[in-house]
Amino acid sequence: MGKILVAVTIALCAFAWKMYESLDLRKTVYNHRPGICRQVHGPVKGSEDIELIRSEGIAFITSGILYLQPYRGDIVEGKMFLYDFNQKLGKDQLKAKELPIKGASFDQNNFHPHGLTHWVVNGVIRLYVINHSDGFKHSVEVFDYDPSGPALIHKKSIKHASFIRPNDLAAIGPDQFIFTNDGVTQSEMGNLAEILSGYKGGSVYYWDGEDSQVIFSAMAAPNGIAYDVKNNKLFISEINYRRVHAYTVEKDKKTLTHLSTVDLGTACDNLFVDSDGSVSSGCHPVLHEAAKSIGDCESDVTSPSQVIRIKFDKDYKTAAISEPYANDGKEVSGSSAVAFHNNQMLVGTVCKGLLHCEIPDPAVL
Amino acid sequence: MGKLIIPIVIGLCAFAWRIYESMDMGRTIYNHRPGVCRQVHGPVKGSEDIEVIRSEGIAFVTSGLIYLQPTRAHVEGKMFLYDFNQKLGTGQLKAKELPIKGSNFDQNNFHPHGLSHWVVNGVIRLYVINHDDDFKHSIEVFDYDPSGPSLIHKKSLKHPSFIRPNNIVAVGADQLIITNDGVAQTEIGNFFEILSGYKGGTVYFWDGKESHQILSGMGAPNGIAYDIKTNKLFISEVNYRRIHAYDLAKDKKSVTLLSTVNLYSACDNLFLDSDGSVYSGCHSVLIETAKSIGDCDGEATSPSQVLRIKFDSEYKIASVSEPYSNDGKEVSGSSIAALYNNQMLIGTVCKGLLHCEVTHPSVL
Repeated sequence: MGKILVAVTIALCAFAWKMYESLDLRKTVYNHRPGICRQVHGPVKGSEDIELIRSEGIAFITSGILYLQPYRGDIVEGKMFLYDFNQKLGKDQLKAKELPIKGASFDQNNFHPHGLTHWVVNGVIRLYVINHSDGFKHSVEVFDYDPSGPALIHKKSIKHASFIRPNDLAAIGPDQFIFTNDGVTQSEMGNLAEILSGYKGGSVYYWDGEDSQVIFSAMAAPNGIAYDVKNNKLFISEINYRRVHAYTVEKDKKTLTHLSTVDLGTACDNLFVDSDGSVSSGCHPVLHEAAKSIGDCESDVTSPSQVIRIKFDKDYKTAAISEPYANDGKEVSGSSAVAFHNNQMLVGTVCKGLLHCEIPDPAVL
Repeated sequence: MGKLIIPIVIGLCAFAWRIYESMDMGRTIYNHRPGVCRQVHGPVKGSEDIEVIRSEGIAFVTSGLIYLQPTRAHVEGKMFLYDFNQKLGTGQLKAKELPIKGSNFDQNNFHPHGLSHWVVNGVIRLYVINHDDDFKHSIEVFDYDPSGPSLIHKKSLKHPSFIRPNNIVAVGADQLIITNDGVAQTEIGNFFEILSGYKGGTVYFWDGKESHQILSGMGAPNGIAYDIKTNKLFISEVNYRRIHAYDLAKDKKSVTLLSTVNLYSACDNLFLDSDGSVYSGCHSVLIETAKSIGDCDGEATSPSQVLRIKFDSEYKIASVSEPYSNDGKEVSGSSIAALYNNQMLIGTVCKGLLHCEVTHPSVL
């Protein structure tokens, strides 16, 4: 009996330790910025993902996410925003412009965008946006960008059984994308059980334009995904294990060859590939605070934000990691995405605003 | 027996947890800089403390520290001068070694630690904590001769209250406040002091002739800084990873606690900026610091961190930021940060000196 008690006590100690570690209960966040930072007017309900169109100096932003909380469907309006990096920096308020969405088949009331990506199809910027309806049913909404409005033209809605709990996606061709499912359960309670048990319910699929093919299964919450078209490299953030994987995409696009895994020591959300090939991410450095803040988007509860930059070597075997931005949550809460353009940085959040920072010198990155 | 085993197991778990925490074993360091950073040529054996003379745009740097390691007596203690007015660019930044003049100065038994200054009759007077080859302690007093430039040794102060002096701050001409970071005089003794949680640290006021105890029972008081404008004293209590702000009494023999700021990092020396904010060079992963400082002549490195503490007008609350952080590859074992004219110097216990440009005040 004594031996059993000792074993149980040790197991409980180990479990407590694991929880303590995995929820970042001991982590301290020290504030620092790459330059002057300002709030961006517009996406008050968050800016969960950001898609940069480098050639135009603009970025598309998803706002009003509904994630595992169907009861928030009637109070949160899903929106798409456009941020122009060419707008004048100074004392004036920086703005992100709400994009009207046109299309008879588009259901605005059931639109809560999550991850997004783009591909230029016949000279037109085509956006692929993960959507969760009020009832937390999933689809990928396809829009064409009309710069004259500016507006988005809804083209189609893609639904498939493989969209289990889609989080993010990366276009790798016209109407071809790879997307991540960050788990299997469809409720907050189920998700908590999934995390607590360590169940690896995450998966990654390739959508070829008509059907889905599974690429990976049994992953621990694959979240952010980004594709480097120049180098044909794909990056996936496995958030529960606090790491990012680098892959080469094979010709058939259904197969990925693993190159390396980088341990980040922080829960990184969406990924962004910069023009120099470095990968940046908006991360949640203190997970228990992120859970509280994201679980209560309408309140004043905040959680720390962090931007991590991963610079791979030419073989993608080793990487140097830096932290261009960190904040305790008072300036920006629950960072989920980052985008760099022209010595500027946008930091997106799950559900609380959008931040812009100037970068006076690349040395701070 | 069974009843005893459970509390023992829980006790061991708690102890293991405490060690894990106190040694920063789970901590990840993320690199970031306030701008372009470069190594400074000169103080290869470290730059444990830096004293800025704002009016001149120069800084004095202590190098060649021996701390609880008489076996390292082969290390030569030196004083360096850094000129903030030297041209930044592609050329190598340099700190100039200062020759020390004085017939009664023992160069072979000089291993400087903390330092401070006061202007006495128009002359910059330096007060430097020294540990000799046998780890006996003194405060060496120098006058700065800019014509050389060189240091003129004036006198050597010895007193039983210099138990294990770490840092020092001048609060008047030949008036100093000194921190003793513990009582043990050996590495093994210090290890037990830390492990047992024994609070052997003390703070003394030296009035020019005699010592007066200000504080006792502290967990390794380390860095100390004095704000002459507001009469505030700041002390870093390294074992508790916190900094205290005090009001200094008129007689300088007592202090009134204003606030304590938890930093969650082992912060070493303190620097007071012109805007009243306090900077510190910190050891963010203590287990790696212990290895690196314990092997100053080896290749082992440890992370570096600079923290900035900005107090409110009443010194009750403070905002903390991190202008610099590095895993140890760029600069190892940071012990001090000094700012001047959009430049930052980061000193180390025993491995070099780093200079960083501050691209914009918003990065601090």
